Amino acid sequence: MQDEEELLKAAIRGDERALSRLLQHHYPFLFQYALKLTMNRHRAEDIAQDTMLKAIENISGFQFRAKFSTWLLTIASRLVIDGARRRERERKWLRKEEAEWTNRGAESRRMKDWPHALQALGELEEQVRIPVLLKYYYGYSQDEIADMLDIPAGTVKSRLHAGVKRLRKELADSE
Amino acid sequence: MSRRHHEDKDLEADRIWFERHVGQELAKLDADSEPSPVRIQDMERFVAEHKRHVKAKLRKELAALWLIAVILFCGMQWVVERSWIWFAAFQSAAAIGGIMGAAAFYAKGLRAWKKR
Repeated sequence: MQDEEELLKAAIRGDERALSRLLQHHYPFLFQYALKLTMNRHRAEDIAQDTMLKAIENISGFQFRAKFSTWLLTIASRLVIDGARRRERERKWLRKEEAEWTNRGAESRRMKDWPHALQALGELEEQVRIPVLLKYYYGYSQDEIADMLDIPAGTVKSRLHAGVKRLRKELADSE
Repeated sequence: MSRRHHEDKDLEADRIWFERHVGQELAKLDADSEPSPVRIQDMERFVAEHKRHVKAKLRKELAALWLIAVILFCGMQWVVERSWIWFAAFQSAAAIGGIMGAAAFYAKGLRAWKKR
């Protein structure tokens, strides 16, 4: 790929071809991240697509404070967290417990063939799973994660601790 | 040993545990879930279509804003011709609303900044 910084500068100026090349290059990485966040192929495709739409809308505001891939991960993470909050609100509002359990059942059926470790990861709430993935799989620092998710660094730390503790417990129980 | 040092050691232990028990499965998942490549022509069409959609939406919003402004302006003209007192009351209410809105916006920004 042509130099990413040059492509970014052109994309910020409104060059559609440059932006297309950037998105094309980063799509596999973005999709794989979304798959780890959602543990569901269809939802991952939706998240990756929505992330690209947001990136197209906001590329003129990109400020080179982070890498383009980090910016995409930030958008995807926030979309997943917002989606989870919305679903939670809807669940509270509707109070249709039966529907909720049907959905959860479908989710766990989809995940039942996955390895134990990924099942356990999928059981964590999005707010916990995302910092755990960003820290321990993608190697971001706590401060970077706090910036990406717009939460205090202390919250990141406690979610990391709680997340790994639960994973350890889940995997110990399943062994 | 300092508390900070303990915490760093805990984090490192968690990282090693995660790498061994979950990281390897995630790496396998990455290897198995490589999506089929997107053709550049398809991506260009996707970008162009969305930019067109955003522009059309912005034009609609701008038109709605102008319409509201014209209605407000005509309404205020009508009021000022009939009663200066009512005109002053509307203007004061609008000014107070504007100040309260700006204060709320500032407070929200300040909270977000403090949270960092």
